[in-house]
Amino acid sequence: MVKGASFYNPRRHPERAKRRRDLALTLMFQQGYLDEETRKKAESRPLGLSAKPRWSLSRHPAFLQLVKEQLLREYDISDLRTKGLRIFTTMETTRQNALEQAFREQLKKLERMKSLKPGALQAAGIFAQNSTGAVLALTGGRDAGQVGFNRALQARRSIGSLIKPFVYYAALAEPERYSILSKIDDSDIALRLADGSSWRPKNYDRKNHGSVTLMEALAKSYNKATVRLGQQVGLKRVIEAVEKAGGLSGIDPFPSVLLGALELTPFEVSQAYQTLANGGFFAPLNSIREVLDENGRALKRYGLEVRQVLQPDAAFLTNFILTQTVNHGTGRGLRALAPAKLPLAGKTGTTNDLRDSWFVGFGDDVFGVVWLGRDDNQSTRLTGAAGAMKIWARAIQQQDLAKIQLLPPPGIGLLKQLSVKFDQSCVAFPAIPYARAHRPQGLAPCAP
Amino acid sequence: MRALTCGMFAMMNKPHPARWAVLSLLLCGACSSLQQTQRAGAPVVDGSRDAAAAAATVAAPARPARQEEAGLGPPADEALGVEAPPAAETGETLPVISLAPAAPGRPYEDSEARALEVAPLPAPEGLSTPESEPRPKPKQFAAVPVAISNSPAVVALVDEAKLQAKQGRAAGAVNALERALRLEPKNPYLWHLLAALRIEQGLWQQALSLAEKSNSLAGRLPKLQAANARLRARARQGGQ
Repeated sequence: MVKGASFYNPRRHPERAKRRRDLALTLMFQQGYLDEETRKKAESRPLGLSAKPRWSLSRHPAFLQLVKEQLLREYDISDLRTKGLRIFTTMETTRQNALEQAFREQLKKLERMKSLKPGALQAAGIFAQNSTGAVLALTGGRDAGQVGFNRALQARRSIGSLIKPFVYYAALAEPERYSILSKIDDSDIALRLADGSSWRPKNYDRKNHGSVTLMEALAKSYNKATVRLGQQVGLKRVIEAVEKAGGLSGIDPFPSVLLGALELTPFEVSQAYQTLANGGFFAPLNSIREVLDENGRALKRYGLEVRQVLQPDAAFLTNFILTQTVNHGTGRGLRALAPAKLPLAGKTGTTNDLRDSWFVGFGDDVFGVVWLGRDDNQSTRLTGAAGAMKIWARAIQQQDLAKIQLLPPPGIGLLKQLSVKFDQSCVAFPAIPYARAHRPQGLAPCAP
Repeated sequence: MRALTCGMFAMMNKPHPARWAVLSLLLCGACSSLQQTQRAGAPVVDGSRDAAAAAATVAAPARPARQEEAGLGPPADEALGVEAPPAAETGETLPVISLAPAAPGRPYEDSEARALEVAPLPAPEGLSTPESEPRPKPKQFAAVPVAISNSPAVVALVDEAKLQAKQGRAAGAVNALERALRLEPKNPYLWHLLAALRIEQGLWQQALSLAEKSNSLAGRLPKLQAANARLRARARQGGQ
């Protein structure tokens, strides 16, 4: 019996397998079965795995791993024991190839630009359909063909500002208190933590922006305004929104969660954003379309599942702001990177010391999450906009990605042709959505 | 599972008389209740009326009156009251927000508007050339079937779903609708139909969410909103 067949699986854990092999060689040498030279020669050799994949999907092992996990969850195991099954997945090869190519091209470029050692950056990405949760592309590392640690499914990283839309969602879910034009103060704020110390978040640009609209605060990703808003709304509500959207539980209620001190995998982040992009309707991310038996009959399966977990009106308002992130906010660089695909909604995410660079973007029915970071958790020297967003933009260049169409649900009204203060100047908006039951009152004419 | 047959009737009344149309559609669980929400004098195609009558004998009666008495769902008029404020006041006739850097086109609205146009021939024949077909005269209120989509593939899949449902194969019907949804994920009618199917299957929670999903896309479709309200009421009732 081979010891630890899966623990030492040379495809999944090549480092472990090599260490084990070398240990065996050392013992053989010590006990006189090998001479020094043979041992050294053997140790210097690679594991000798066949590189040629056996199935076509093996070219995309990260996606295949997801399929395997979900097969066992969604189908009856006794059905799967039958021979000759044919499994149809949700992968769309053009999108998968586009994502892999974006990683191949852009990561090297970014490393050169930031004087990082070649190979220092790692990455993961997921593209999926907003409305059904069908995963269209998934990569777990910069080398898509490499089997091993699947960062999309397994790397838990701080999500940084990707939490913010859920803070604003939680506020907008109380339309009697907040509209997207409500003001919030972006000045210094100190929070007393449980251990008695106090926490003073800073803005990325180290500035205070005074009294700003919720729309500006989210689109420009202001930290102080967000923490203040989160305090007003209540940490519990914010966490509840993230947990519902992402199908998660047990998030610790630390105030720092408001700025994304919360570790999630790119897959979990994708699930949360699927719900948001789908107007508040959770559809489990899925990778299997159909399984046919050897006679071509479909195995019984669980069909499309959709669950309303966020309020559609508040989700709509949040998504509207995310389009302004791309128009005027932290994601505005995307306008130059993907001019043909606009309008899009998006959110950048950057964590402390630039350890993680995130971007989530969505069009009408496809969204994508890209994460960049380092396995040693050192700085990437990249913000979300400078790193992940560039890769995201590259990946969508060769993809069919319909422009976002914001179709207001019944509860949403529109204020037409409104000039709103945004980043110290007046910006004319063709329409500003609001919860119809609570039309914003007393809007003063914009004065910068 | 009982056979799903029935016509869904939804009145679409628009300011312009030419927009008067009757949607004669589809399998649906809520058909009998929908019929009762028709206003007096609502135009109904004779053939469709027959189909609906036949359906009413097959599908379990939804007993809308009882639902309303029990306070389980808003009556149709209430649901309608939320909708369609005068266009001049709120500009609600343009529900798609055009974003600053966006192209001026509003494809979804356009396609939806087209889908709601009166087509004098039954789908799918009427679909291919809706523009060139003669329209019924205003005030004639000739009721005609209208397509839920101008994609032939989606229409074919809905037909397939209808057929499967009629033959009592719920799984097949659901499968066809899911495939249609992959093509047109923001078509509120498809979500509505899936909700209706789930009600027939007794999957109340799913039906509720699907009806909500349909509604979230039905900002301009008061009749569909009313139909969704009835599905939700039935789902809540069933789930108890």
